Amino acid sequence: MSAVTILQRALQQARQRRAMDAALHCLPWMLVAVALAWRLGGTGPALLVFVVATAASVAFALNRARAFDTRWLVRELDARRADMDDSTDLLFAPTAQLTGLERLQLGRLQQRIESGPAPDLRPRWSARAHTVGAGIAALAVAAILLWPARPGDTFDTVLASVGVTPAAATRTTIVEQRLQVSPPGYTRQPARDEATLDAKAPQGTRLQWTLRFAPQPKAAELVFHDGRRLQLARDGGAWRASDVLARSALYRIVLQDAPPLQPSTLHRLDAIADRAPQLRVLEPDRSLSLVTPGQRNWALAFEGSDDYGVASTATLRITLAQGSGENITFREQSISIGGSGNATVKRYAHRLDLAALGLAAGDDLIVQLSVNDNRTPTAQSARSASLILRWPSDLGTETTGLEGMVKKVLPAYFRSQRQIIIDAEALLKEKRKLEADRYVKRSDEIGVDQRILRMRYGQFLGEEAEGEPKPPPTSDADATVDAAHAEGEVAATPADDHGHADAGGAGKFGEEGAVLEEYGHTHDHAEAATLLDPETRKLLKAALDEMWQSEGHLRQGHPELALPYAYRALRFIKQVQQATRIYLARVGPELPPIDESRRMGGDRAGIARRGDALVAADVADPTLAALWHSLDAAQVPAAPIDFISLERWLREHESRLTDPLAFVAAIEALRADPDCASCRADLRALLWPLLPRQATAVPRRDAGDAAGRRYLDALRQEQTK
Amino acid sequence: MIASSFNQPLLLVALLTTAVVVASARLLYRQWRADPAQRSRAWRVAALLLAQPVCAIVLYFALVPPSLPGEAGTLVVATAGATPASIGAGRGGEAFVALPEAPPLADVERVPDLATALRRHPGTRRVRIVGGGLEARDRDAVHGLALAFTANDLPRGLVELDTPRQAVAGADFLVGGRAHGLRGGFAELIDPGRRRVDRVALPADGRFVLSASPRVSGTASFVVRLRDAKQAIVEEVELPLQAIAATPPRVLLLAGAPGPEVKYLRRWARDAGLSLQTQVSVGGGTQLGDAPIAISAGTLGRFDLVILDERAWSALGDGQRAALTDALNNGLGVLLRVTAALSPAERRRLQALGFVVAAGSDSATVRLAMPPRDEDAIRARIGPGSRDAPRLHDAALPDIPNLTRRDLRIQPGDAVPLLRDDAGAWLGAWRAQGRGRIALWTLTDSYSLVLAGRDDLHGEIWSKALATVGRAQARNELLLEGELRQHQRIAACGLGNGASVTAPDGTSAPLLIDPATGSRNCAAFWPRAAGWHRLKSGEHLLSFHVRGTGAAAGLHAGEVRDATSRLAADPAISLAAATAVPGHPGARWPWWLAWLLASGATWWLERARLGRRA
Repeated sequence: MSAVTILQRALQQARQRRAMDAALHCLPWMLVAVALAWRLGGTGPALLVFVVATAASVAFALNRARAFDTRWLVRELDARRADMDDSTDLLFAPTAQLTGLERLQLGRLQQRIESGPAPDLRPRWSARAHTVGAGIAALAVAAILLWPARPGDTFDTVLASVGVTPAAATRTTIVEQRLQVSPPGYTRQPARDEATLDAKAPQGTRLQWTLRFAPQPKAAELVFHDGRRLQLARDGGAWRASDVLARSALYRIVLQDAPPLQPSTLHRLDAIADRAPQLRVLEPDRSLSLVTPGQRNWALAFEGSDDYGVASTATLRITLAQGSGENITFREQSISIGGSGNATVKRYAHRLDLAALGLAAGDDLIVQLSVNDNRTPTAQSARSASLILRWPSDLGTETTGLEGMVKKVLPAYFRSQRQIIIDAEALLKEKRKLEADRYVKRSDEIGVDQRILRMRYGQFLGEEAEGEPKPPPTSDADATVDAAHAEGEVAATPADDHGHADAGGAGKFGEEGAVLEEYGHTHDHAEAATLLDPETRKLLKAALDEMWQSEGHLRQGHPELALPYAYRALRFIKQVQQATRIYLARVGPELPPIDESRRMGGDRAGIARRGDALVAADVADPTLAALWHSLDAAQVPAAPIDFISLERWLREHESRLTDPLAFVAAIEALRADPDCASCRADLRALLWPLLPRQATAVPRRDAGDAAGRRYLDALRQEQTK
Repeated sequence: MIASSFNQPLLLVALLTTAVVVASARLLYRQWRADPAQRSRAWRVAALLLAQPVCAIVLYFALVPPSLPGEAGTLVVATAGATPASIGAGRGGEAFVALPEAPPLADVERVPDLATALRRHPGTRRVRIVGGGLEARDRDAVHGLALAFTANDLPRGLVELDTPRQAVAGADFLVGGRAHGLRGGFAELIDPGRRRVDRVALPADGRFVLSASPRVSGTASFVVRLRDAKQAIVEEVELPLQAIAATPPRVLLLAGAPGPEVKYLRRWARDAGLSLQTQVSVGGGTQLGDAPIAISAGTLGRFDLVILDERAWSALGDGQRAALTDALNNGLGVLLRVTAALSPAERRRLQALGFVVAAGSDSATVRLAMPPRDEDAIRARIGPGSRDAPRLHDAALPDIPNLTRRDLRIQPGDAVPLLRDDAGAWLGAWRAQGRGRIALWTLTDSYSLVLAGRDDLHGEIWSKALATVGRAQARNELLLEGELRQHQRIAACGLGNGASVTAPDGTSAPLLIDPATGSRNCAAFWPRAAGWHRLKSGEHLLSFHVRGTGAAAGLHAGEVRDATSRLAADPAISLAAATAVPGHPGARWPWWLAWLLASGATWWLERARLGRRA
């Protein structure tokens, strides 16, 4: 080994020793720092401090070690080894610049080093410093770790230490609030957490409150506006309660054995009622359809909608009405139809096979769809309008444009007397051209007309039927008039079941003598006979007599003989009509002038003034008006409010309120803060629609001031001049 | 200030003269006392003597510069909303000032008020106002100046509102107003229950009239709401008013016969609180109703209104009729119900009272003219009904029945219609007679309104008729003038001694009556807070609402603009020519310089050896 190598090793050893020494210096203090960090901040900070301190110690140690360089080595060797002759630096000087003497000395030094023991340049351990440091550090660590843990000095503990008891909390606050809203499953709404304690949710929603108070009360409950109370159960630090939202309500949180809650606002729960499903008919587009020729089936389509969901199947009720008149039979059956579409809107379509149902001409097919929604426990259902498919028995009696049966025309009832005359005269003109049979038949037809007319007029005299029943044709029997007529001619039995004493033999065709007898009785119908005065009755009777004669001749085939009677009958009828016009004219306002002189000309003894029956109206309920006044914003200071009478009024008149909850909320808000101007205004606004409107008052017009009056007076005097 | 009482220039003159005299005297004394050999030369003394007054005079002018003649100029005043473009370029002789309401404008001098601006710009003859207009503060300052007003456009919304300060509880009141820039829009009136009670479409000029009625006395806050053509709400302006109980008129009801019309009229009058004296003749001298009274001048003076039908009228004696006419001339209201054909004598009597009528022998069916209100508004007006007949808030309205009238044609002389049917024909008319009013009423079955369930209409038409015709009431009431707005001057008139105003915070401020207002007894008041104030003067009380500074800005803009336009249109204002233009002080620095030079030269001459003998 060369001298330089030996020296280098010695230097290295010295450096290591120095570094170790420095590290040992740092170690106790590092421990103290770590212990302190652990005590104050826990493990995390302690680790951090450890890492930082280790890094700092290493850096420090390296720095100390680096101070041992070649110069230090030279100095140290010179100081320690006399045999170096204070010329150690020659060992490290560049050889090229050395003088001869120096080279010689260098050689000697190298030899000495190589021959002698290896120089030990390691500094001594600074044992005392380490001992003292370790001792102090141990004490410090022990103190840090073993120092009794003291609760933090708060204002309250300081107060307590000087003998002041801490003041109790003056109010309770809600430190955590959660209102879990779980709507019923059928609504398909997700459960959610409300940030506030107000909620608006479907009816039947489960509500769960979780509240934390500071300080903790002894008991807590939710008090609803209708007096219901819901106890909150304590669960660790939290208070919980759950309820099902049945109807809208207001509630507040009430604590027991705790300072008042602030803010103690009123919370509102709104229950949204489930709407019944809606059904709409898509097809057919009208409620009454008619069977088209060749129709084999009937297409139906409905759309059902609901706020949460409609059932997937709907029930179609089919009613088949068969028969006509009073003989109608019904057959009912129900089938279920599957719907397509999404949950809230579904389409139900079905095609009815008419042949399978047995629909025949004259039948009606009536269908109605009913559908449920998905509400639990009880579903709501809706029914569509009834749809009718009609197979008309006789397509001719109906008009297709109208939904319903319409008679096409009304038959003519009877011919008038004038028409009979015209017909008879026309027949006379054609007499020569016609065969005898035909002539008599035509005459007889006119005679029938004459008879119908006679019976019509006879009704006015109370004669609703005579010997042969032959009522004026009605709309539903016009087709059978002729048949009935012929029948009547043959049968000739009185259908009159009144059983008149003298009617039995009357009315026989051609018995002219019996006419007066026949007309001698009337039925005294209130609407008919008795309304006619004797004059009119006489005229009418004469007309009927003439008609009778005319009828007789006509039916015997002698229109020329019948004509004079017919003319007379016409004249009488005209007179009757004119007479009727006189007596039945509306009485207008043109009254004859009042003869004032005859007024109150009778005996007035004993007539005295009567007491006045008019009494004053009931005074309206003064509660609301009084409250209106006490809420007046113009009053300074604000007037007290009579809540008790107001609440009584509200209980009694709850049905008159559109939103009773709003009223309750407004009252509660005002009661909580009587100085709140906006709360007063809100309550007043709710109150106004309830204030009854009095009978309209009469304002007085302004007379102006004295100068104005003088001016007007002067103006009038000017005008009169 | 004592200094201002001195005539400062005169004092200066005295001081300077004294100084000149003393200096000259000293100069002469030194010359005289000096040895003759050492005396200065005469020209030097003369020059020094001359220099003294010269210095004094120049100093005087430096202190009091001579005034330059003023020149007539135009002052351009920027007010609220003025823009640099609207101010325009400065022409010759134009100066620009901005009042505090004006927005920041570059290179425009800001002044606290117009009077200050006029003082700073003497010689102003013409004032051109640019922007919104002059606030009340500045309106007096422009007197004597020619005023031109270049107005800004009004803001969109409500710019004019005419409301009664007080309304009668139970009777309709009218609100007039004007909306700007809302063509095709709607004006609505919202009642204190926040329900719409009236709605009209806005015509092209934006003017509208709405009506509502307060149900009970006390203050109530209505709201005027404006909507544009798309039904969007443009503005909501609060309309606070005080409702007072009516002083019901005293009514004498004379009927020639009992009947439903009389019965329901009595019913309504009794419910409405009218003091009613009824006499229904049932013939033969027998009467129903209240205790009979004699119809004379004395008794009629106790009534405000006489309602009588033509039968009762015909039955009056000559003396009674003369008493009625006298009372009518003295202010009584007379309403004559025509229920039957009039006899020629009655027509002549009507003619004597100024009514020329024709026809009348028949009756006709009429429909009342109804303002176009929708059902919601009418339901909100009718209210909840009475205890015996409650009305649901969404109950359907009964139809208005057809009524009957006498087909009497009233010739429109000086008569004024009282009630019209839907075709515009007159159902009633009134005219002034003396101090009173007389009305003809041809509707014969207004009671069928009550039977049909529209007693509100029955009450309304009778209330309107009686209010129009009845005796006028002299009101001794407190009046407020000026815009009721925070920090704006309000004049309260008709005050007695010890009047005071109570502010919303409860503080009370006494009012000092300005003697200059004479018999009107007015006092000024500046409200500091917005809200309800209460004016109390003796027994009279008046509540009034003061708007906040920022509330209903359009109303304020409209008011300012109108007032300024009136000022600009007032010919009395532009009488400026006669007054002399005041001068303004000239620059001082030339005089100071002259004084410095003169003093320096004098000083140099005094020091110099020049002109000395020794």
